[in-house]
Amino acid sequence: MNDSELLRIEGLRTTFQTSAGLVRAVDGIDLSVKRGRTLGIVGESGCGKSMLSLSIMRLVPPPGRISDGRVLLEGRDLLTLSNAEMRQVRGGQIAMIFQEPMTSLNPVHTVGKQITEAMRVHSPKSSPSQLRDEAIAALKRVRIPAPERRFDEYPHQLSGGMRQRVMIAMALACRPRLLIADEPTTALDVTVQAQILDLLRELQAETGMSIILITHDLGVVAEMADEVAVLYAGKVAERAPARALFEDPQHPYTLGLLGSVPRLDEERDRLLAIDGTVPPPFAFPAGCRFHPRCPFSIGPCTSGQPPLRELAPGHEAACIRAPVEASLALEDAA
Amino acid sequence: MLRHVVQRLLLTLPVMLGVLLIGFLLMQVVPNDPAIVRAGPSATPDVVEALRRDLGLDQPLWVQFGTYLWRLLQGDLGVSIINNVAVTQELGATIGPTLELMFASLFWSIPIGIALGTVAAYFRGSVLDRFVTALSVAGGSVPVFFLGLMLIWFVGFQWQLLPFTGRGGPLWTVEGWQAVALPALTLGGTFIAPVARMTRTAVLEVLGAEHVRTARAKGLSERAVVLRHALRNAMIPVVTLIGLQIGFLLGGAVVTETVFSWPGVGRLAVGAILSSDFPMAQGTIIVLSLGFILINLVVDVLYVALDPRMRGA
Repeated sequence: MNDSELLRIEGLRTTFQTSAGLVRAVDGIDLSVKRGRTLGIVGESGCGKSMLSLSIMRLVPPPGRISDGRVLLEGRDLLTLSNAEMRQVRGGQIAMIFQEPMTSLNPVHTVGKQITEAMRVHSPKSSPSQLRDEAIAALKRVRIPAPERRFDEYPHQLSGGMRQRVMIAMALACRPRLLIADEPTTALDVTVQAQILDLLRELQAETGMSIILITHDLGVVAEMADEVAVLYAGKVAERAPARALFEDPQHPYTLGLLGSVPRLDEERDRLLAIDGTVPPPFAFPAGCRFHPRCPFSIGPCTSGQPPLRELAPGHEAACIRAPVEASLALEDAA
Repeated sequence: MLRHVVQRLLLTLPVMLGVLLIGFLLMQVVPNDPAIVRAGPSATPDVVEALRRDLGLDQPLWVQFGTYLWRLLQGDLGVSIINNVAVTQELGATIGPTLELMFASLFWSIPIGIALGTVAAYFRGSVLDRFVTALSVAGGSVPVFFLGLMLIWFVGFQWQLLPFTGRGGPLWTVEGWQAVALPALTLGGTFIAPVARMTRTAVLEVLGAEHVRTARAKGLSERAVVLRHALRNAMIPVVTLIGLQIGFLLGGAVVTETVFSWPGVGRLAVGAILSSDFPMAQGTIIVLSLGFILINLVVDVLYVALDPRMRGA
């Protein structure tokens, strides 16, 4: 583990024992997050991205369990910590914000109470008035107007964007090293989305925290992420610096995702779409899990899961056909 | 808030009027003639007729009802046909013991019901959960009188552990709570099941909510998650249910008081109805209905206190 890495995930597996069989929601994922940087995690719904984030927090709902792997935060394996130690990590070193700011806040407690509650866990010696001042400062940091008044209000009295700001204030109240943002802007209006992303970027610059940004929105990733991991069916399909991923995607799935984003600089009659849907986790196909939907699949794709291969420095893809252009050119020549 | 309460209180007036009318009509259906009852078996028809005029029973029904209402407005609930005691006086003497019994029953059954339901929800699918579910099915199926008779037979009679007839004194005395123990166990015992079941459902639902995940992500202990977040939110539907169930509990109180000879409004009601003591029966109906209405008013207020989203709505 090198010094610039804050979090390193090795061979992480999260499985669910169900009546339909063993479901591998996260199936051997390796990732790392650098200090002060943003890792974007992209994929369709059902690809395991939310389960990955809950696994890092050890908040996988039953009957799910983390069956294998390591989650190293500054070299310390979170999966071996006691429950009490893990509670100190949650909210203290790793904080999380969610998609639905309405349902993610408790409707019966005031904003202030929910923020101070998080702070009390991690600094139990503070007095109530100290906590109040700090919470108001936290609300101020996320640019909430009249924070003194908001402190005593309930979530339903706030707008969607304000609620997400409260969530962020709550998450950052204890100055975590890592913020996991699971679809933080999906439920918000487009203008509010941009404000929240700007806010996250400013706060990152202020505090030097790392961010894992989980989203299905490639536009958000392009704007925010330094590095990107594309997830498909519980596995990493491609991992690269953000710029490289958008300029030179290697995995056919990434190509498909990029093709389904509308662009202003190109004229197209219709958007490309990837045929089919993500297979349900109890019915993953043999071989490469993407091959039934892949326009480039060949015989060997149906047997053996392709490992991640480094195609350029820091740029890996799990595809035996990658780089796709090169292999297509080879076929043409043959 | 105050406006809300006043509004609710005003709304109870038509409800009370309906209750009075139905109670009045039901007493007319009973095939007993209060005048004959009052006059006794050896009275001549002339005496009975005179008595009927005296009691106003020869008047048309609507006049009787009107007269009754008019007196009621002046705080006069009439006089018992059987023993000539003022109804208000009898009610005054029996309300206290009934409140005592209700309090003693709810005092232990609500916390236990909520605790059982919460534990069952938290350990969903475990042996504990199945035990609580079985208990609440059993508890919900046992009639009040049966539970009461069993307790009397075993605890009171066979083992001679606790008294099982009458009231022993105020609740703060040893005799007082010893006497209320068996009736309160009986009445409360039937109340645990619905409370536990409702709490289990409500807590299960809240435990799956996203804000509970947020609470865990903040690093809160499981205890704080369950008590401050899950249970606190689950109380909103549970309190509503308790309010409604207390109506049934009042019905159960009538049976329990009769079984244990508890000198409360319920036993008074049964006696009055059996002896066609029309004013007394009406009086007990008024008190029990008023009790139900007041409890629901309290629930309404609690509801607003528990759910900030209801405030100002």
